[in-house]
Amino acid sequence: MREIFQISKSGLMAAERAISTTGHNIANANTPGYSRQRVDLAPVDFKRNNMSIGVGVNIEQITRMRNEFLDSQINEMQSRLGSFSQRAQTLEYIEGLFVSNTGNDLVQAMTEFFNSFSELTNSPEDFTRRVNIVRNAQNMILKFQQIGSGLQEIQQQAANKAKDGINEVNTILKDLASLNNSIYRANGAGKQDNKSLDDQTRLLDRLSKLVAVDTQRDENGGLEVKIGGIIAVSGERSATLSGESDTVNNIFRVRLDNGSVIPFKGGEVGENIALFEDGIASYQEDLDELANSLMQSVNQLHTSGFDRNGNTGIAFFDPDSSGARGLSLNALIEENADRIVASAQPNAPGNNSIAAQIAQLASQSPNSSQSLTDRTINLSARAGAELSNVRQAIETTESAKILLTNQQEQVSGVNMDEELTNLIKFQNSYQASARVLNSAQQMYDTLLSIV
Amino acid sequence: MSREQIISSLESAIVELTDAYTQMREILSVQIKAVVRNNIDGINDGTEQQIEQNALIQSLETRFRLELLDAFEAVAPDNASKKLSELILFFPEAKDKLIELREGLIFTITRTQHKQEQLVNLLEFARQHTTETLRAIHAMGNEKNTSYNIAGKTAQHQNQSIAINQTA
Repeated sequence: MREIFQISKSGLMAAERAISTTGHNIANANTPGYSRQRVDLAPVDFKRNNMSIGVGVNIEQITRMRNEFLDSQINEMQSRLGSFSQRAQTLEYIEGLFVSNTGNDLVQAMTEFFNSFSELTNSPEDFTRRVNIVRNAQNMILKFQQIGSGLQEIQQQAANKAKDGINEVNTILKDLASLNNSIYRANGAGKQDNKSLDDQTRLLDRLSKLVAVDTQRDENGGLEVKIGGIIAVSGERSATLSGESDTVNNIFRVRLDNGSVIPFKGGEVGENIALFEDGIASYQEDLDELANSLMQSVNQLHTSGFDRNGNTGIAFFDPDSSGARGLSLNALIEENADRIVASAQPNAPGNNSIAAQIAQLASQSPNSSQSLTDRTINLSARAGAELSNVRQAIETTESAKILLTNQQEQVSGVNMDEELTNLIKFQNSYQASARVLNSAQQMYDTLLSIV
Repeated sequence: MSREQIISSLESAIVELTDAYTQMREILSVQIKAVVRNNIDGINDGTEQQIEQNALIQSLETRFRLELLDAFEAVAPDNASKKLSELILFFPEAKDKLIELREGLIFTITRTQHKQEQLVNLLEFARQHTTETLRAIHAMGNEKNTSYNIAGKTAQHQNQSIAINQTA
């Protein structure tokens, strides 16, 4: 009789706990990062005379219903999205520097500069046309300087954003270590701290948006976090990171408190570091090369001829200047447009040979496979083309993330066989659809070839 | 066949092709949503509709090709390119309309192609993800991966550890 009461009592207690867990689930249905909980019941029995006698049920544990495998995949998508979004944002700024809706951009300014030399060939002695060259050269130089300074500013912003991101990473690492402490204490008492586990999931979600991380649980249920293969959270200890940027050599270092360098890749912070070190710097380098090529090509021709008064030609651009930001017009030409060279012969003001050769630089490529104008157009269009690719990647990654999030939301105590059957069904459907799509691939190109 | 008839047939062939590609793009959009929402019936329905739409597009493309050949035969039989862009030059009276239709068709094909690429990428991801999930489930049932709780007791169906963002 005592055993019957025992069975009833343990059953009622377990049911009460199960109802309370259900209530907890309902109350937290809309809490971000909350995982559904389930009460795991286990039969309690004792042995008497080699026979096992059931005495009711015990609550084994309250299981947190969360598929950690899906979490890891969602975090990976999150990291990619963070990285792509950051890159898209920066590329938008860069595109804005190079391309203008009103046409007042570098391509236009360079075209007008060479056109004004072309106009000078019609009347090499005309002072107004010479003044026009000075004005167009100044406008083009201004564009080079504006883009150069704009790129430098964006690069600095990327470094600042990376530093801000690292501060946020530090806060998250500290919080994760502190939650480990709660998890250890609960484990020590034989319980599972589901609230802390949920909080860690939420923090990991944000952390992986900032940087790519590896995580694993230690034997006591605590979370170990590695960034770039180096441990950032272990047990109740967390590392403090700091960022430093070297704007001369375009190097950004993230250091641990002991001074060692930690590789930072992926996520918003990783992307900002990559943009600082390579992405924006490559635009700056190409722009500087373009400005230097322009200066050298024009100066070479300009110094080989004679000005309106028969004097030997001087450099058109200041020969001591370098790069887009440093590009400047020779002060002597700025003061007196008669110093502009059009003639290849001394005391032949009607000769237009050098002016014509300078005008032709727009479409010719003396030292490069591409003309100066083509190089400018390609450089101006590069950010737009990259942006289009990144947007496509964002669309695809977002779809993939929604797919995984939906799957995570559907996670429940389903029968594993049923789950496997469903997965195989899905796999077949994906393959069938992919086959149909592949067969249609050629259709588009065939039609486009005859339109 | 008169010039007016040639132009009219050609125009209607281009319009029908453009409409068919627009419908295809809509089918692809619905299917992308179905993949994202894990709607297996939606994915299968989308595949069926794609097969039908592909057949329709192929028949319309054949018709367009024949119209194109007939038109070249009538105005420039020696022209080797047999491309619509070339043919337009022989019909100055309908040039603007044909250019507009041609650009509309190219735009629609390109957008549909873009949508198709998106779906292909998504399916590839979904397929890989499912493969990995199947592998993970298999690993869970493997004794080597059984984890132990603090009391040393076996905790079934728990993944021991997860490494995240390994490929990021």
